[in-house]
Amino acid sequence: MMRNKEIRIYFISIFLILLVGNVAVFLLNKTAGMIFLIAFLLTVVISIIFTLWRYRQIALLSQYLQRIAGGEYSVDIRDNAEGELSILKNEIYKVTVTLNEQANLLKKDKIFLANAISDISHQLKTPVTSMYVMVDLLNNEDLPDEKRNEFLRNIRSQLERLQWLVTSLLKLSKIDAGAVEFKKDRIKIRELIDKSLEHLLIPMEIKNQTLEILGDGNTELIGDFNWTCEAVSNIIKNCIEHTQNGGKIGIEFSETSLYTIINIYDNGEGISKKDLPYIFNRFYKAANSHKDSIGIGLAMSKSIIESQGGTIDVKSEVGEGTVFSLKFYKGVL
Amino acid sequence: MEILRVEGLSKIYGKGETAVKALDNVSFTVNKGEFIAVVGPSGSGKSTLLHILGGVDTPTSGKVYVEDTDVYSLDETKLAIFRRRQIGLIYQFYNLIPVLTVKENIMLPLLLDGRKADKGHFKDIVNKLGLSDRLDYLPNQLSGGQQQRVSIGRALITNPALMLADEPTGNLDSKNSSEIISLLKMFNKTLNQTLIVITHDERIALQADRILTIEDGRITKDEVIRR
Repeated sequence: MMRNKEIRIYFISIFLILLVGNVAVFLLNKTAGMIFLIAFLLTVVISIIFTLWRYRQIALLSQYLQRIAGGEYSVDIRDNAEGELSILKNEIYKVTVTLNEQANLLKKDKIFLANAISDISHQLKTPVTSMYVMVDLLNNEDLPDEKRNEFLRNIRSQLERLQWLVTSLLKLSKIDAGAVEFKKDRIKIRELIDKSLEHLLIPMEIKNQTLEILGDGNTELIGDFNWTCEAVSNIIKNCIEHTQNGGKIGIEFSETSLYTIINIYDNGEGISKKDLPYIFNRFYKAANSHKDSIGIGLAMSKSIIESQGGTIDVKSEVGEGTVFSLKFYKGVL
Repeated sequence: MEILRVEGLSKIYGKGETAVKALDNVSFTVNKGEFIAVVGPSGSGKSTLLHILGGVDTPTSGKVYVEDTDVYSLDETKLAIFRRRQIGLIYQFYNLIPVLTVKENIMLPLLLDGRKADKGHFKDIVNKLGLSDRLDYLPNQLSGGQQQRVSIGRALITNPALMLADEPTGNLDSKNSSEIISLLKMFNKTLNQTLIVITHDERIALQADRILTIEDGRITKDEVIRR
C-alpha cells in the first residue's frame, strides 16, 4: 500500500496536520490533549484499514484481469451490490463477455476461412480443367472449324465466369477487411434502381418478364451509391434467375422517419424452408440453384447492406415467390 | 455463447383445487445475439415466463441462469441491482415515468446506479431511435410509437445481457409496429443484443431467428427460422 505515492502523501499530510493540532491542544489543556491524541490514533488506524481494504479490492481486480488475459473467461466477479466498485466489476465483466465472444467469432472465422479457400479452389479448378481439355483439342489441326468456334466460345464464357468470380471475391474480401470506405451520400432510390437495372433489362426481356416499380420518386436513402447498386442488382438478378419465363419482378420502396425500405419481389419458384436460413451464406447452393451459380451474389449483397448499418431479410413461399426486404436506417450514420 | 439457461421452470398460482399451472417444467437455452419470439394463445404462460426471466416474478420451482448467475439465488436487494444492470424490459404500455423527460427516462437505469451515461453511447442510441429532437419532451407529448422508442432506449442504455419485450407492439398501429420491430431487429443485429419478444402477431414472430411456441405452460415447438 505504502508504495503508492498518493497514499504516502495522504498519510504524511494527515499526520502533520493532526500533530500540529495535537500539540496546540496539549498546550491549551492536558486532558483535551490526551483525548485528541487517542482520537488522532484511532483516525489513523481506521483510515489505514479502509485504505488497505480498498487496495485489496483493486489487487483482486487486477488478478482477475490477469486471468482473463490468460484466456480464462468464465470467472464471474459481479457481486450485484451498490456503489462504484461493484459497477466497475460489472463493467469489467461485460467487457470480458464481449472479448470472449470475439474470441469465439475469430475461431469460427478461421474454420470458415479454411472452408472458403477450399470452396474457392474448387470453383477455380473446374473451369481451368475444362479449358485445358478444350485447348488440347484445339491443338488438333484436323478439328473442323465449327467445333473450333464452339470451343473458343466455351473457353470465353468460362473465362468470363472466372473473371466475375475473382472480381467478386476481391470485392467481398475488401468489404470483410473493412477496407471499403462507404460514402454517405443522399441517394434517390429511383436513380439507384435504374442504375441497378441497367444490365438486367436484357435478361429480363429474354425471359419475357414484366417489371413493376412502385414508390415515390423523391424517396431517398443515405449510403454509397455504387456499392448499394451492386447489392440491389445482385438481388434483382437472383429474382430474375429464379422466376419462370413470363413471370413478374417488382421493386417497391418507401421511407419512414427512421428508415428507408426497399422490397424486391418476384412470383417465381420460391425458396424452400430448408434453404431459407442459409441463402445469404457464402458459397451456399440451394437445391434449385442455377448450374453456374457460385453462391456469392446474395452473400455480397448482405455484406454491403450490413456494412452500411442496414438489414436484409427474406420471405419466401415455394411456388408463390420471394420478397427481399432491405432496410437502411437513418440514425446509424 | 450461452446467455440464458432455464431449467425445469414451473409457476403455480393459487393453492389446492384452485391452483393454476401457468408454467409447467419449461427448459430451454438462449445464445448471445439470438432474437427469439415467444408465441402462444393468451393464458398460455408467455407473460409469466417473461416476468420470471426478467426477475420480476418468482418461480415456484426451477432455475433461471443469466450469464451463469442463478437469478433466484440472489436476495431481494441483489436481485434488484442485477435486474437494473443486466435486464432491459419493454412493456406493451411503455411504463415511462410521466414527470421525467425523454432524456431522463432513458437515463433512469443509470441514474439509479448513480452513474452517468457515456455521451457517445447515449447519442448513438438516441440517434438510432430517431429521438434526438425530442429529448426534452415529456412522455405525454409523444405518440405511442415514440414512447415505445423511448422505452427501447431505456432498456438499451445499460448494455443489458438480455432484452425482454412483452407485446411491444400490442398498443400500436401497423406502421408503428413495423418501425418498432425493425428497430429491435437492427439493435439485435448491430449490437448483437440478445432479444426475447412475446407476441401475438405472426408477422412479428417471423422476423425472429427462432420461435418458441407455448401452450398450456409448456413449450410445444422450438423452430429455428434463420441463423
